[in-house]
Amino acid sequence: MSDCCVAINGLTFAWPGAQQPVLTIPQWSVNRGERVLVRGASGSGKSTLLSLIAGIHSATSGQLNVLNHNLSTLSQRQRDRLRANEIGYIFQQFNLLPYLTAQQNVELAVQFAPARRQRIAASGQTVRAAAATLLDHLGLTTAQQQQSAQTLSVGQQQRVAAARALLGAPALIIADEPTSALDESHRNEFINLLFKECDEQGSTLLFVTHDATLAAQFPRVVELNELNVAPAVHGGVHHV
Amino acid sequence: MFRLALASLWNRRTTAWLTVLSIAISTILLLGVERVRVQAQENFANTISGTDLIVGARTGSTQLLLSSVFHIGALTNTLSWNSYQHLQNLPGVAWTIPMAMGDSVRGFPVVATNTDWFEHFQYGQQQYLEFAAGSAFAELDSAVVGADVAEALELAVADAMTVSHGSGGMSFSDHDEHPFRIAGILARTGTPVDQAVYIPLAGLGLVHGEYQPNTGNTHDHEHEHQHEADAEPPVYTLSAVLIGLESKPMALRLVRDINTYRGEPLTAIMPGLALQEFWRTLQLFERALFIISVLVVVTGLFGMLTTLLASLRERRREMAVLRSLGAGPFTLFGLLVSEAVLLTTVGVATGVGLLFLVLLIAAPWFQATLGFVVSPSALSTTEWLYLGLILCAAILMSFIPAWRAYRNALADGLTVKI
Repeated sequence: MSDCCVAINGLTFAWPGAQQPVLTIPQWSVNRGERVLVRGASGSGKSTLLSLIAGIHSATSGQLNVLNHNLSTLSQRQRDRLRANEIGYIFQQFNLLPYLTAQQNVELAVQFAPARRQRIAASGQTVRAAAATLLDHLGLTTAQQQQSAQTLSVGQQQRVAAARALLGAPALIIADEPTSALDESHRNEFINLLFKECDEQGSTLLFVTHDATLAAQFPRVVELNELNVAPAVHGGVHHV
Repeated sequence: MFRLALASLWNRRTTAWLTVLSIAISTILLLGVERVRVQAQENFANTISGTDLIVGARTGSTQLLLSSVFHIGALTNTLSWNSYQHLQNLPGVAWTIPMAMGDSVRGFPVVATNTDWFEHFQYGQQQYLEFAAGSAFAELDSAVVGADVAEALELAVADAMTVSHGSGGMSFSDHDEHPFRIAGILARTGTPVDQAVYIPLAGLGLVHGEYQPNTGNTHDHEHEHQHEADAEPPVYTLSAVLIGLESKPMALRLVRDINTYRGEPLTAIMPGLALQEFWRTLQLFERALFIISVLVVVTGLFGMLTTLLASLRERRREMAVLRSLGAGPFTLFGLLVSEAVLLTTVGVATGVGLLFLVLLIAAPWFQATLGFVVSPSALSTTEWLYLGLILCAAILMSFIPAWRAYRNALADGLTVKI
């Protein structure tokens, strides 16, 4: 159990007011240090699954354990704290606050995460130096690091987003289609960098995409269709 | 966190500045109205002091007050020299000041009086008049002018000046065969005294042909010719008489005595009471001004509310990013509230700063047009209270967009909607 990063048991989730659950996952788990690709078509509930694991929403029923915390027993505040400290999240795009520099965007990761700050301090680095090191690894020049985020290219922005997710070595990195805005060469480069950094920090990587061509690069690939036994919800629109 | 709010605001600085400006302007208006109201009232109450009674011919108390103290409007009725002598001899009367008005020097009212004026008239906190230059008039063709008159007409002691009939700036009947020489210039008082010209009663009698009857006199004047048998008075009629009493409690009895005087219909008023009464009639106007300025503040705050609500749409992305980094819904709530507090505080501070700047620059203009000084003195308790209320209202209002942000944070989660 202790090497389990995400463990799901009889999980269902329905949007408030909806009759049909969008997610019903009888059993699934991800071990620590694994690199897992979750593949699913648009509207198959990928984002919903991620927001459940990230602790934004709570399961309607069943059990969802993240890093040995049963999320349904945690309060909203505790889940926010767990996300801040242990989960690095990368969006499809628009990850950065446009008015901050790349460096400041990365440093934002520890704003709400005392545990991440402690880990950086324990490694004998300042937050600033740690952020700079990560950005160096991910291939941003010193000048680019001080540039305003909105002046960077999409590829550079995604690498800054990856650096922010990785800063302070959270246990779990969740990437929600981070490469869909990148072309093929950038995509492969980005994934390789992400793998390398995750390995270095020992972080688990949960990578979600609709793109089947990425499957070859991951040791473990899961089809969300096979995982989720809820009847297909058409359209995939889940506004409240 | 605060730095983040600042950076986010800086990113939207155009709308932020406009919001700050609208709050600043509404603050200026609210404080400005309050300041003018309080200082006008103070100045108003300071115009006359130590005078227990004002007596004139039968008229309204406000009219008598306005014309005798503020030189506003004209008294159509006059009281006779006989009545004046009667008033002087009433029991308990310590001093009297006769006033005859109706003439002017290039728009400034002329008050014909005697040296009792300089000896007994008090303003502010029982302050007597003082001379900035020269002294009281001694000759019948000498005059004393207020500080504003001397400044506006560029008069110095020993200069000559022509009195015109009537109160207009231009008159077709100048008494230019009888020029007056300036004997003294009064020190500034901040009251209507600064705007008046004082000449001896005998001097007025002279130009009106009452003192030394002149057959060649062609202009018609309002003073009635009632030749009395006894010693020739300098003028036949007076506009008003100011009276000081030996003891204040006698005032009420004397008012009744004078109002029922049989020789002539007279009106006696107590200036303090009349001032209050008059101020009360102005309160409607004052309240309307206050309500308007409060509404302007509300408008300014609604402007901020609109801006904040509109910004929420473009900031959903920002909110989702912060949420993904572990910011709780309450943090986003706080972000919005602190933004409102920041905008309002800067707005209010800018407003106060601009107000002081305006007061500093426009003080001479206020002095010239309103006749009193609106000084840039420290903020009063009431003014601090108003500023506090603006801030509280802003915080309360910001709960609306903050609540929206909170709700969005819970509902949207990490899906970034564009």
